[in-house]
Amino acid sequence: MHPEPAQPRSGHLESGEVAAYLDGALSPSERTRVEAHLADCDACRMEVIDVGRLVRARPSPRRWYLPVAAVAAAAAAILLLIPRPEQDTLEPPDYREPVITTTVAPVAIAPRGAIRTAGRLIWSSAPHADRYQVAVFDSTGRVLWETQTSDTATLLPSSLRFQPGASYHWKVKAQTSWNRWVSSDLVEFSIGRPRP
Amino acid sequence: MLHTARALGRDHDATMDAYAYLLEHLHGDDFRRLRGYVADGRTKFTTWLVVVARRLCLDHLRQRYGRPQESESPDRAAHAARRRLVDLLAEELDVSGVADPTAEGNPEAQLRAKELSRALAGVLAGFEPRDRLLLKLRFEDGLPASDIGQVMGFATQFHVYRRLNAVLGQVRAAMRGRGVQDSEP
Repeated sequence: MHPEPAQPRSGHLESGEVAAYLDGALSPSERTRVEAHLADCDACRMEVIDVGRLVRARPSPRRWYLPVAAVAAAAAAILLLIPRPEQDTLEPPDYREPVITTTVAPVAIAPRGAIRTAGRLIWSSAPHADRYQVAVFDSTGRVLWETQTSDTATLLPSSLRFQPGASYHWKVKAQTSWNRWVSSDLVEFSIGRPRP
Repeated sequence: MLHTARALGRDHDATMDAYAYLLEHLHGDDFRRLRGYVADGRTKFTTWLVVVARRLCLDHLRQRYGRPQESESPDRAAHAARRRLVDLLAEELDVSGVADPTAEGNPEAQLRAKELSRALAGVLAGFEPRDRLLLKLRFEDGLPASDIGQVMGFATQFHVYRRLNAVLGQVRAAMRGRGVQDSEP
């Protein structure tokens, strides 16, 4: 006999609750109850993390899709050329996932976390990247400084003053082809207060 | 669904087996599981289907390979507890002075880490569920701010960082209230 995975498991969230939480479809009281459960239940939290990643993930393209895509494109073109008696005003449903990309993003290496001083920004190289654009933000998201370089490190200008204890962020974007950029994750750092 | 099976499968054959199992069970009993979806206009069908597909795939893996080894759990828990301690209190603690509680031969450091951990658990128990979830996702599960933002519905990564900083400030204040000022509890 098979277990019932789509049914509520004892003591765990139902599949509908997990989906509704990720879709932001719960009422405030339901959300609080679900979050209280997630904070204490490793299994449900892992499920929410996994499903969130799977929903956002973009499957890589396959070569055998190409003939199918070509036939579909031809069929779509024919359908578009045939005049229709009345225009359909309904919005098309959102069946498709976002555009596929397999480009490797640069990784922001330093600074990260609490540091003594921030003199330079260092990141890993991205394949085929010929230019990098780096930006430093304050905790409100305001751009404090940005520049472009072909190197994988850059010095911060001395005019850029960081307040001890305040939180700052930075990220780097790599240009991998014409008008195509791939960005690192946003990284936080702060300048530690000097110890007495 | 194939993507879900692929994410959980160990290799191509396992993926395709899980995918076949998934299709068979979704089709079974006149699509009973699919008919269980409540189209109330709030939850997307695709999100719900991924949850169901993942649960079916995990069932298949458990039936085929058994449950994951439980022997790894204590190590993981100890590692998570240590990481939580070090990360949450990084600014107040001399990190190099916090010994690995799993290390042998240093009972004083083990005791200190245990007391800190106990004080921290007491502090966190009084926090809002949303803030406790935020801290767990960040420090125990190690999720980047972008993932946390998407899971918990924050508008941007900046909002995640801002809320994290606010909550960590509350944690530090509460720890100080319990007499934890530095690495010495």
